[in-house]
Amino acid sequence: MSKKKKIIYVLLALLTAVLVFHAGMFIIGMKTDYLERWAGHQYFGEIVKIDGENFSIRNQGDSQREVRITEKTVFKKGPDTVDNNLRPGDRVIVFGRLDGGGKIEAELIRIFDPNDRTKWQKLFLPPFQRQ
Amino acid sequence: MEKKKILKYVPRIALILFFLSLSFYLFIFSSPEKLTSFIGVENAYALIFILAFLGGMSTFNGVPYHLVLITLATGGLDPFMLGLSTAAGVMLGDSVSYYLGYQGSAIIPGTLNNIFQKVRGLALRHPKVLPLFFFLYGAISPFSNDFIVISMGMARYPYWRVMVPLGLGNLVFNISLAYFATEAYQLLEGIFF
Repeated sequence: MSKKKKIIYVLLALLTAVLVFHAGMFIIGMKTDYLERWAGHQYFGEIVKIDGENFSIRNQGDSQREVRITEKTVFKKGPDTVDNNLRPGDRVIVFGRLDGGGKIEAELIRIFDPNDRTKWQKLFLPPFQRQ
Repeated sequence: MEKKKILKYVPRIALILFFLSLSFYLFIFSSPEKLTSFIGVENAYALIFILAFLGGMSTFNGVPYHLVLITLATGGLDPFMLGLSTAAGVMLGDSVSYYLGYQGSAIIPGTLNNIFQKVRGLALRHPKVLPLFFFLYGAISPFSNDFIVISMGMARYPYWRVMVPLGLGNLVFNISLAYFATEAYQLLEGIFF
C-alpha cells in the first residue's frame, strides 16, 4: 500500500471514530436531559426597561424578552450573591423557564461588567486593534 | 522490580482517572446555570473563556460551551471577541488533553503504541498533510478535538504542529458561529423546543 493511501486510511479511520462516537453521544444527550439542560432556558441581553418585579432585555436583533423576578431568584455579580439592584443598561444572563405568558421566570441572573469588552480586548488584541 | 515499575505509573494513571472522572461528573451534573453561578466572573468574555477551557479539558464534550457562545452572541456581544475568547479557552483545555495523551503513551499496550509510532512516522514524513487536516477539522467540525489531541499526544506528535493549525481552525469556527448565532439559535430552538 502506498504511503499516501496509508495516510488517507488513517485520517478516515480517525474521522469515522469521531463521527460514531459523537452520534452515540448525541443519542445519549437526547435520551437523557443533558442537551436540553445545556441548550435551553438561558437568555442574554441588555436591560432596557424595569417595571416593578419585571424587566425587559434586548438582544442583538432588537427583539425583547420580558423577565419576571420571583422570591427564589438569585442575583450574582462576580463571585458574590447580591441584592436586586438592576438598572437599565446592565447586561445580564438570565436562567429560567418560560411561563405560560412567555415571560422568563428568572432563577439565576448574573450581572456583567458593561466595560467587559474593553477590558478583555487588552488581554487578547494588540494595541492598534483595540477600539 | 515489578513493584517499582507499577509505582512509576501510578501518578500517570491517577491523573488520567482524575480527568476522566471530572468529565463524567460534568457530563452528568453540569448545567450552564450551575457553572455560571459557580464561575465568579463579571466579564461575559471571561465566562465563555472558562467554559470553553472546561469543555476543552473535559474529555469528549463534558461541557458543550458552543450553546452558551450562541446565547451570548445572540444577546449582542462582539462576535470576534467571543470567538477569540472561546478558541483561546478551548486550546488551553485541549493542551491538557494533549498532555494526558502524552502521559498515557507510556502506559498503553505495546501493539497500540507501535501503531501510534507508525502514524507519527508517516505524518512526519509528510509534514503538510496532518496540519492541514487539523485546520480543516477545527474550522468545520463542531465536534470535540479530543480524538485529535489525545491520539496525537499518544503518538508524541509535536505539540505546536497540532495546536497551531487546530487553534486557527477553531478560531474560524467559533467566530463564524458567533456571527451566525441568531440562525444557529433558531435551529436549536427548532430541535429542542
